[in-house]
Amino acid sequence: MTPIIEIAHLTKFYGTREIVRDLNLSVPSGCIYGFLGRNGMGKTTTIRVLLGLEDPTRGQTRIFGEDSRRLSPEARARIGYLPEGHHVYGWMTVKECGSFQASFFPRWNQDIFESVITHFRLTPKMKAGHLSRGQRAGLCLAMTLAPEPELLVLDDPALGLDPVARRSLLQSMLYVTRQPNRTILFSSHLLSDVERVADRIAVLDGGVMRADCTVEHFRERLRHYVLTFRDQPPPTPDMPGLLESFRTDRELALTVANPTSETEDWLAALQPESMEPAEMTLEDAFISYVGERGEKTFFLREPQRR
Amino acid sequence: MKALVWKELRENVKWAFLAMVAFGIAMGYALSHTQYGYPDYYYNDGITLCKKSFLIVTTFGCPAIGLFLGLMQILPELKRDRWAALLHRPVSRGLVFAGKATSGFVLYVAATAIPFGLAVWIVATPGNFGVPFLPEMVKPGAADICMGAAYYFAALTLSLQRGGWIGLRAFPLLAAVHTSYFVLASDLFYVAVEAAAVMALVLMLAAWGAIQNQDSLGARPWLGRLAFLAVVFYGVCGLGNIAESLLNTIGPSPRSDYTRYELTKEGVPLRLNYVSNVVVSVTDPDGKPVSDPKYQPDRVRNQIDYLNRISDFIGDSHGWKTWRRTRPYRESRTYLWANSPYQYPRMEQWFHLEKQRSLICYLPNLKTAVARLDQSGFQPVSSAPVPFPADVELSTVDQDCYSLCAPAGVRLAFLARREIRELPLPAAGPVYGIANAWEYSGQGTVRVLGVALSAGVALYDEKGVRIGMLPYHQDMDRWGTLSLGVDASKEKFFLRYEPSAWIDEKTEKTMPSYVEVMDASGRVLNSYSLPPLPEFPRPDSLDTFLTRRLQSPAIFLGNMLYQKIGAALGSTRLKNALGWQFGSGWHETKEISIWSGLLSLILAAATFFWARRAQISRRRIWTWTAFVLAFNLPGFITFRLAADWPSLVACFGCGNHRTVNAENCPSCKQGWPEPEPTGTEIFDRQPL
Repeated sequence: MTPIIEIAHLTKFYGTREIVRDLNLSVPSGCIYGFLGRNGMGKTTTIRVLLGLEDPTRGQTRIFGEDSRRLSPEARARIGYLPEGHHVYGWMTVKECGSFQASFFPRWNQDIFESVITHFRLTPKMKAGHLSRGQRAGLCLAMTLAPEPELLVLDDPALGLDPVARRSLLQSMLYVTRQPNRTILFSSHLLSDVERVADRIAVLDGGVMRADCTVEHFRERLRHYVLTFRDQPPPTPDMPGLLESFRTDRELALTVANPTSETEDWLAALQPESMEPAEMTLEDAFISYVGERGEKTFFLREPQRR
Repeated sequence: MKALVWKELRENVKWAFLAMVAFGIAMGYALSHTQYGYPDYYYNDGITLCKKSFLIVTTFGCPAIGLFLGLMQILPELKRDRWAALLHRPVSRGLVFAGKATSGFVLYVAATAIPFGLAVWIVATPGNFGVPFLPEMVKPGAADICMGAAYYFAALTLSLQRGGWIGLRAFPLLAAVHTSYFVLASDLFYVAVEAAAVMALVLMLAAWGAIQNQDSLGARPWLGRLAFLAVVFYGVCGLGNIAESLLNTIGPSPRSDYTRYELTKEGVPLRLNYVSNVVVSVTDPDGKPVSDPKYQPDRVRNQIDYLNRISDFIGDSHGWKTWRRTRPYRESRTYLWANSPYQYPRMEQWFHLEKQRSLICYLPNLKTAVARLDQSGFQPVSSAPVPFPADVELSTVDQDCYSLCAPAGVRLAFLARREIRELPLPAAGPVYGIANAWEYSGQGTVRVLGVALSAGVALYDEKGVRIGMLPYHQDMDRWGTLSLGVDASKEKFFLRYEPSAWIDEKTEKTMPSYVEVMDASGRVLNSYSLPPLPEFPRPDSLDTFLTRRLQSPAIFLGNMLYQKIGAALGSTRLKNALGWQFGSGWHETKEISIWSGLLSLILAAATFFWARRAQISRRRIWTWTAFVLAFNLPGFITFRLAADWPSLVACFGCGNHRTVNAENCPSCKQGWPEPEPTGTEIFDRQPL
């Protein structure tokens, strides 16, 4: 399948600070890609470089085969971009927002625009400046979807919305975007936002891409173990794939990526009283994956260090 | 484009309206305001649209409005996501800029031109002001509106450009400030407007370039790149203007020594030696000290009879033409000036109209024109004006009397009586000039009118009656610059002969001058020969010292080339300017050439090594070096501010600095290491 988005060895520096490092990504046509990572990990920067809003320091990005730095207006007309923040011109009415946006897009679909704004209970005469955050997000989404773009780039669209508004936004996105050959790149810092829509996810951590797989594969490759000890647990072993460990008075909980049979051998060597692989929700798995690495403790005092 | 323009107009019309109202109120106040609350009989503050207070409003108001509208148009929208949403629309960035700039410029013009037009209409409507309205008087305000356009585009450029507010971003504003200095200092209206228009165009191109790429100068279109370089360069010049003004204001004044001959009230010449405009010693023309206590340096100025110039040459002009100073377009005196009022309170006020070459009389109370004086004499204001011919010199003899001096004869116009009288000349013309001489006596002011003829100076009293004739006793072809004085008793007349105007400066400095004291019949009572005065080189002020050394060789040589081409095409002004460069100004020309060349060379070398150290590309190193060589310190500052300085980090391989953009380290040739695997990577296919 022809990739719609190609990112090859993308590196972005702001001054001497490296934001994105040697990023490679290929998004095929018709794929919904979740672009995940905590805040400040380089998602928005990658999207901005991808859309030609910033220059890459090194590497190359292409959309529809065109170099991002020289995207033609025709190519832009095929890309729907919803930046974070849901900006609208406050002095315009909902109708004026639509008319203004429509004047730039030759394939403007008024029905889609009206359907989305109705879904968000907006009326054409409402002032955009008086809308709630959720309504504003809905208006932005309507303006992004109505041109019927072939590629949708959504930069954390649910950011700052309450759970009801978030659900509403995702519902309308799901409804409108489930069309063949529509490609979506959807960034978020919450996996729950993307798990129901994304075919694949890419996870950025510290500017480096650490995962690029299907959601199922991602869930399969993470394992959580709870080890119970008779006495105080031993220090956390330095084992490959360890994401985080959590020590309490008698327990040691470990989250491991890419576990193998050797992993369980490592753990058995610690001689726990019991060792149980625990179920992880996808959200837990993601939080463990992108969270702080290393050992954490809670309530525990270590007498020998005092 | 239409949608963009509509959006910008809707978004910013409120700011333009606010600016328009504030500007209108300020102009209205300035027009109606009288300094200290007293009527300004002499119009020292200027007249209506050229009034100082009105021009302060336009000089500061137009730039303020331009800057305000430009900033309000860009800054609120410049937040990362808003700007991204705007730029991502499927139109070129050039079109986005065109939409913004077109609407913003229209709003700027509306905010300034509408209230200004209203002010012009009020001033031009008869009955509102008791002074004439001349269409040329709109020039200063129009130039300020053009100047404000440069500030509007400066605001766009500085908003769109990334960088520190007191660093790179300040320079578009400083470039506009440089334009202001030029517009305010220029004598010619069209030069001021051209300068403002060119700078507005350059700033517009720089802003257009900045919207294409806000970070890297190298990634902008070449026109935008050049425009931005020009903006930074002129910004540095603007900074120089401000520094120069500060140095002039707070810096030490250079000591200036000079010597002058003056005549005492008895007609005795003295040599006064000045240091920084203060008389420090008084001697006779041969340099011997003067013992009379009334001629001591602290009181000698009260004993001086100041002479008035009658003529620049007598007889053959040797091709020399009277040089008329171009008066600044911002002064109302360039267009018209008020004749001294001859009665208080004023019943009527005469105005001299320069271009129209006539005078017009207004009744201040009724604010209406009642009479005109032109070649046809005193005429009702409704009659068609007949301008005085170009060879008629108009000058004030007395508060109520005007002299109309032509080569063929002299007429006196008595304004209050509406009477014109021909002066009876003792001999046929031509008339070479006319001047007043006066002195204060116990009975009032003694006035004498002198008319320079071929044979001598004919003397007349205030009523135009001939009272005597002063014949010449020198070689008038060479000493034809004449000045006239009179003593308080009206029995002695002083004639001073100086080298004719056509004699070149170098020869003139070697020639003596003469003073003759005569009675009305022309009998010489005393005669003095005044040797040429020594010259004291005037030391440069600090700002001149710096300005000369920091001149751009490219501009200095370019200016000379321009003068050369202009002179070849027949421009006398440019020929004279070039002549000065290689004539009496040669010392200065040489000094500028040596110093600016030397400094440029040093700075160009510094640029070369600095750029190489910063790992700027080879082509750019040479370009910048050439740029600094051409533009001296301003070029060097431009290089520091505007060059794309690559970020340097330590190389993983060798530890030396390498740029973040380059694929390989210039020292060890290694590429960049791949991210260190942590064992937590989850890929279900090979990455690209």
